[in-house]
Amino acid sequence: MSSGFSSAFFAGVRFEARMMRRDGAIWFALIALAGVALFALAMGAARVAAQQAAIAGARADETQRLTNLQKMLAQLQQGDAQGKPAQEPPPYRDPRNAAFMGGGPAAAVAALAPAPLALVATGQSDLLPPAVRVTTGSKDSFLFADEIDNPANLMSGATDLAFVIVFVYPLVILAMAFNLLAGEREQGTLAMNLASARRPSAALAGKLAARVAAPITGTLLAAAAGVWIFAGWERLATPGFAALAVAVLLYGLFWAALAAAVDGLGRSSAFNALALIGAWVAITMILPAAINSLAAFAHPAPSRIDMVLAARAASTDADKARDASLSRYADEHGGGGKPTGGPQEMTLRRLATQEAAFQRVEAIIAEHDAQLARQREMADRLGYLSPAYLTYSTLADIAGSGEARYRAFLDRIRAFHVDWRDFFLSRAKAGASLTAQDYAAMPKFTQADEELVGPAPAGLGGPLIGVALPMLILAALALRGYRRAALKRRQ
Amino acid sequence: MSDLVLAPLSATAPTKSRWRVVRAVAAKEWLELFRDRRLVWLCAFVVALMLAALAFGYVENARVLRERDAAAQADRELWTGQSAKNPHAAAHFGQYAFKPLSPLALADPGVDAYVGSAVWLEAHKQNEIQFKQARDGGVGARLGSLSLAFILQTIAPLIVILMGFASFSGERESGTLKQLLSVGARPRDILAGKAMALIGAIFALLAPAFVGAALALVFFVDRERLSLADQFIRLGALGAAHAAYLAGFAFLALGVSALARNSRAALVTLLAFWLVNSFLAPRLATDAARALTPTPSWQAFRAGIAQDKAKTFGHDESHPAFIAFRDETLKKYGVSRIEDLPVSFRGLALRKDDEAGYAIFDRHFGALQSAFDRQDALRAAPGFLFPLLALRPISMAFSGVDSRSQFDFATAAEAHRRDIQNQVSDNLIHFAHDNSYVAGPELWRKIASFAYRAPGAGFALGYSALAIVGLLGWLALACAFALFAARRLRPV
Amino acid sequence: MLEARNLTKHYDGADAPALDRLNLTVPAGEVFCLLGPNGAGKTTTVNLFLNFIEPTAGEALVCGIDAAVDPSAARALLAYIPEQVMLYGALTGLENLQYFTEISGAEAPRETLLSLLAAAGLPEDAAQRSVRGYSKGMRQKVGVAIALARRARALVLDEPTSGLDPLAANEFAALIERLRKEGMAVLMVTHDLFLAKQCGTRIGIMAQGRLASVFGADDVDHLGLERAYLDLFAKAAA
Repeated sequence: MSSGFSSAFFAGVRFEARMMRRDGAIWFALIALAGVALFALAMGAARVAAQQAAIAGARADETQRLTNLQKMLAQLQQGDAQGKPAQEPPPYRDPRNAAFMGGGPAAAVAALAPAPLALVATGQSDLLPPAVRVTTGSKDSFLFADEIDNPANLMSGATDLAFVIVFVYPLVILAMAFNLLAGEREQGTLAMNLASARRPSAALAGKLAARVAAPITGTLLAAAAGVWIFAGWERLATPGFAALAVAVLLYGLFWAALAAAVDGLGRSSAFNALALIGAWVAITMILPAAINSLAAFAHPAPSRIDMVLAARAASTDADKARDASLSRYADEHGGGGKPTGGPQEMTLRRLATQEAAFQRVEAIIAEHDAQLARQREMADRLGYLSPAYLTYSTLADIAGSGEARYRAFLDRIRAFHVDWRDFFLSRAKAGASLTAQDYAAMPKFTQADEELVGPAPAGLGGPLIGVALPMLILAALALRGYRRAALKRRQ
Repeated sequence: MSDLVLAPLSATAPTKSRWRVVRAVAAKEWLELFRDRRLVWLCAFVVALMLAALAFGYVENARVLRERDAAAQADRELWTGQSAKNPHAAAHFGQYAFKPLSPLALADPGVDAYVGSAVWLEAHKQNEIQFKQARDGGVGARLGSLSLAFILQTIAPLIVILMGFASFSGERESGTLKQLLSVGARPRDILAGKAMALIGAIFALLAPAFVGAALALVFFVDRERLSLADQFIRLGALGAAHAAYLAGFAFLALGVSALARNSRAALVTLLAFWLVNSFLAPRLATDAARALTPTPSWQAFRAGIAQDKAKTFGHDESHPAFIAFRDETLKKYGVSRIEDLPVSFRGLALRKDDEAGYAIFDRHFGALQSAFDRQDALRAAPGFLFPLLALRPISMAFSGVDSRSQFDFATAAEAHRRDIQNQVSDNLIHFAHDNSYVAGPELWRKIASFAYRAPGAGFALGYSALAIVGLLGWLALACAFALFAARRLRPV
Repeated sequence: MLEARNLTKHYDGADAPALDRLNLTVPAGEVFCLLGPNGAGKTTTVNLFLNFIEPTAGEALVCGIDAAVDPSAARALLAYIPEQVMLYGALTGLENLQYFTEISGAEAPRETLLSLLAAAGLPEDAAQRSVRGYSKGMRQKVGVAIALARRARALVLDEPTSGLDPLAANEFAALIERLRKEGMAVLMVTHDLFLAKQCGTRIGIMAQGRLASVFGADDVDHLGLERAYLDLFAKAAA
């Protein structure tokens, strides 16, 4: 039985492939698809290069700033040692001033280098800056800086492989598979097929396999070639690329199964075409849009403005507390008049406001993150309604331009921010000046090696199963439809 | 048969009123559309989707509006609640300006999610507008959300294509085209009738959405701040632009249907065009605009400003420019020591430095915006071929959610920042006689909070001339193509 | 009246012209029947009078109007019943008739249209049903009604009775005779020698794009016509 099945299947594959080779339109569609995929990867590579340049720019700026500060520090110390002190710089430019230096002039660059397969999907990488300047201030003052881009460019979306895979690739698959049965019935060859084949449904399945294999293989080859050309062959041997191949394969099979299931209903080519266009619009456009709208409606995004206002309120409150304690001090010590503010008082005031703002901003950011997490969780859960949605976020995760990697980056920034503040604020509170040793010992934000190499993308199992499951159900329906078509003709 | 009384044979061809033919064709097409249950359900679904999108937009915008109003009030309280301090310290504390929502964002959110919503107006520095909503969404959010504009711009043309692709080719396939032409109807009149029916269907599709949007505006617009009439003019412009866009699709569908070998070829051609127009053209035009008019990175932009700012003195009293200004001021007042000046030199220096800064910021931010404008113009240029490229900027401009509207807000916010700086410096100049000078809440209250009035519809019109020409070009081109195709109409 | 002057049609890629310098006049009050095998050029002639295709040379005149120069004006004077009358499936028979009548510029109240349909053999209850369920004969009857409602001065028929039962075909012939008497010029393409003899005032036999021979209806009986037809092609085959 199985040999009968496989011989009929392979005969179907062979003869369909022969017919396809003679069809100019199929060649055109496949070449166009591969061409768009390669172009998208080229654009992705350009974008990755721009991100790397932005990071390099931020790093160069950091080095420049630190070198200048150290030079100035050396000059000041030299002047002191020689007994002819150089002119005293204002505190906010004084390399010895721990309270001011950590707050800007010496700020550390925390960068997230693009992942190895970053060229595959833009994801959120055009909105989230790849490098931030960590200061002793609260996060509202540095974490929300944006890279410059024309908002209309951001809105238009990027030409990336993820876009080609999610939107264009299914259309080619649908065009190949929408009328296998219907087309044969309409041109009258179906009866011939059914009358001559011993296992007609196997032969039909073989034909379908040939039609579907062409765009899937073509896309995989184009993706491999593009990654090789634009990112280097060694990126092909990563778990990330394997995950990419699986995602592309499953998504392609999903659309093939959908087309076959509709075809198996036994309606006309015209019906199939319209039904599948409707399905494509629903799955790639309407459902994702509805999912996003619903999630935003159920869990509205927090207002980042709250965070700023809290930081500002904290600083005015700290100001007032400081004033009160100073006037109390003046009252108690009979100083009279209004409180005076010497340089140390300025520093303490600054530290107090920063500390108050830091605490409140951390609390609010945690609250916001929880709220956003709820929104995303809902969107992700609803995402299982649309394989397009799942595949799009899967590709972004593979490219390292999704939430998972950026979230890990933010976690590391949080830890680094604490170290950074400790380093400067402990010295500032103690009234200590920064020394050359301090400059050498400043905390550095380094990117972990495994992040650079690109770890095996985690958390893809769920979404991939989410695409595979409907695909299997549709495939079963399609098989039933094909069988029914085979039986009908035999009666 | 013999009992039938026939009128005498007409001696001449009946004088056809062409309008009558057009009307008859249109009426029959309407009837056919109506009797096609699937099409009616599809349209009902799209209308429901549009109303749902409006409802989402309304709720979301009402929420954001509440948030921003509350934030503006809270920030005002923070500002006026400052303790007594040096006015310049208050200027460093600054104010926040919050971008008021354009009411029509409920129909077309435009770039709203991709521009910031608040800007810090602090001393010495013009800041970027921060907190883009899109940053907070997940990756999936980039697949878009339901909005009236999204449905009208991408789903609606698809419906028009589905309604129109078979209008000639289907009649040719079923043989009725022969019958139709054999009675002497002119192809152009048939085209006009079919176009009328299709455009009528488009209006039927648009009407509930725009009535809904008009109602939403009536409830949404705060008439103390905005003119409802202006909003209605904007809504009218949106309606006209979308009608022109979709009418172009109707003509295109009819033309392709008349020329195509069969309905299948017509459908494939039209779908391919729709795909390119909705998905590929915006992306490729953006890539081209980026390549042809690059914008600086944040680092480079800020470095450019810093370079210019280094020529000004800021708080650096050892800066040569500072010394020069000091000497000049002393000379002007005819004194030799700063202490002898009748006014506060610190205040004068701050004002001088601010003024130098204003020109620098105007130059850099202006140059950045003109780069954006050039990119937008490049993107809109092929709009007569791919009409989404022309429609989007028009729709965004009249909805008040394009980058130009954002720039207008940013400019107004910066003007307010400068007003704060100038008032603070004036206060210092006249009242600060020593470094321990502090001002109290009466000064904070005297400095107004930011009140922004968005420009009227004329502003949108002024900046969308190119796109409007593109959209009209599209309509004219599609119409001419349909006429050309009708002339070549053959029933066999 | 209908007139062909050196009417020629050469399809792209074909070796020989489909219609070769046809000269033909059908005056008012005459029924000219065109006989001939498939590919003889009969339907091409009809399509040229309607300007569904462009002539390669020559003219097809409808009451003096060249169909190629002003197709709409020519068609306005011409009624047409094709082999398969195709109608809009979403409309009823009556609605189809109303539609085509209105498009043609003719005016007729609903009662007249219903009586026309009845005259063509379509009862009122059938006329009010969707055309989708119509048999070929019923469609043909709507086609006849459309032609009648037009009150055009010339009528072109392309195999109008193919697929009609003998009774209906007979009624049809009577109708044609009546139209002829009213002064209509009728050009009828048919395979049916019997019908041609019954209706025609003149009968032409076409072969390879040419009008091979023409008979007056009174000059030849039915058997004679059949013999002439078969002889012509036996000669051509030899």
